[in-house]
Amino acid sequence: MISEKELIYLIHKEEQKAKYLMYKKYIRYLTAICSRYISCDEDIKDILQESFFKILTSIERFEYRGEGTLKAWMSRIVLNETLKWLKSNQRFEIVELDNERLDLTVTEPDTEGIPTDEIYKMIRELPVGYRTVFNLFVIEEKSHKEIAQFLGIKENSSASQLHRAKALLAEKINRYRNN
Amino acid sequence: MKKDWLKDINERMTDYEVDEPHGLWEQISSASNSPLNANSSRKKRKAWLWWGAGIATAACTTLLLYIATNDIAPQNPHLNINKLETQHQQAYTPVQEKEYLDDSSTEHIYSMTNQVIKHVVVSNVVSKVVSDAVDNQLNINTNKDGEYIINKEETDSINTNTDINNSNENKQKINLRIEKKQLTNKIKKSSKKGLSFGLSTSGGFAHSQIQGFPGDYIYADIPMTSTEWLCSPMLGIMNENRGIYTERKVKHHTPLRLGLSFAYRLNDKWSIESGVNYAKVSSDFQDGSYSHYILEDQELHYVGIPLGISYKIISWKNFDVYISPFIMAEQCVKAQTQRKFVINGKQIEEETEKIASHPLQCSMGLKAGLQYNFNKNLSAFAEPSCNYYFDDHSKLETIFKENQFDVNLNVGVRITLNKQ
Repeated sequence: MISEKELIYLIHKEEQKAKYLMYKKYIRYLTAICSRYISCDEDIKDILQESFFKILTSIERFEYRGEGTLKAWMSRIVLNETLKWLKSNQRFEIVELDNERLDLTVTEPDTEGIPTDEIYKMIRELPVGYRTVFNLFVIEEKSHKEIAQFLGIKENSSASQLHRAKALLAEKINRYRNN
Repeated sequence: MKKDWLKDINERMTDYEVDEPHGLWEQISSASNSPLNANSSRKKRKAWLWWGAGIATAACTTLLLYIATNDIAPQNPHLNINKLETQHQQAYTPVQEKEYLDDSSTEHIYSMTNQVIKHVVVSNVVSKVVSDAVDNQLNINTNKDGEYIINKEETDSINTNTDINNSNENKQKINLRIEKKQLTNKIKKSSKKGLSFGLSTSGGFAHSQIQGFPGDYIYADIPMTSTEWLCSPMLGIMNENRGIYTERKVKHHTPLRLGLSFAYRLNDKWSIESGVNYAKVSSDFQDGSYSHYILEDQELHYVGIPLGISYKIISWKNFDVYISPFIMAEQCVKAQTQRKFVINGKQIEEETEKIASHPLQCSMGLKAGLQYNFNKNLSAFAEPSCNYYFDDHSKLETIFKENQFDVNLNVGVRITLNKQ
């Protein structure tokens, strides 16, 4: 498998095949990032196309600083495009769950033995507001302050969305385990 | 121990991958053929505009610097020929000539090719003798009466009809008629205030006796048998300048250099530079007196290769500042001099001569530069440099010998290879 350094060298030499190699190396990873936030496949396609356009036009300004930096740079572009799309195309739904249905006291579920694909599906099934905050907090490891800035919401809203997302996801995990 | 479920989800999702949407690459490729390519076309057009602007700026700056600095004229008066302590004046004036020449001999024929004007001062009279050295072997002798006789051996020549009083009076009248016929001329020998002259067949000036009245005339004694100088404007001018203060003026023009530079980048800081240069080195020389002189325009054309190593001191946005020691070898590939012979302020002959000496000029220097990078391969630069020129061991007089140390400003464009 070609290394990032070699890939950047080929791209700077304007080798046409280098762009496809870069696409093939990282597209699955980038798709996973985008699809954790977006449920519609067509929207995912559009966002990834726009993201790749930006990657290819700004690759010459990218400063390589070691193995993994290219991947991190590309994932930041995809994440930014995803959030931008969310802000411009969809209101974050603040799902007010029925208090009787939602057990706000979250018991930590046991994720051992549950396939990663299933967890991925469960995350995608969360309401858009919940999953956005959940993804940003748990997987991207952003603070509530940063999330509030990204999404244009209050920090309290971010915290409550996260709590609700955790509760819902825990319920899904437990239901899966019981089934 | 049960793992924290959020931490577990984090670890699983961090490098998680799924299949990309079907047809995504085709969509990206088709978008590349229009928006991406259009963007790159715009970028290319922009790059060409910057390139053109950079070259135009560099060319204009070079031209302006050349025009502003090409008047380096280190005065180097030497080679004083026939400097005399006696007063020096011009040998004659046209006004004097007219005064003493009658209608039949009022032609003032200045030498064309193969002719030399001799100015003979007889008392207060100027007479001109024009001889055709190519066709004739003119001998000027004195007869038993002391008269000067010019014997023409060939038919196609110039003769002069003179009618000179053999008088010791100061004032004499000379009728001088110049035409292409054959005759023997007699020119009376002057008195102590007259001019005695001679031609030498052996070439050069065998003798020179200088007499002069303060402020008016120069008397020259020309060897009697030599005629070779008649075929050489240079010798004629030297003859005219006998007894006259002469000097040599030298004017070296600033070399005009054009070149193409290449740089091979070793790493972020160091690079090796080379290229190819063309240089035109011109010098003007004037030898002689105020009225009679030789103008030489010496042109040397060099092709050179510089070699240096560059260290980038600082880089800010698209600007680089660097320092670079270098050496350069310039081979003279063409050398010529154009000579103009001027007597009495009028050009009588012009010739172009190729110079056999084609020296190799080596130099070394240190330059500091400011470079603007249009893109990763093309940049424009301005470099003040301090240079030292080694002796090329030739006999040519050049600005490099006059100023072995110099400071100049180079501007240009540079192509960088393998920029990382």
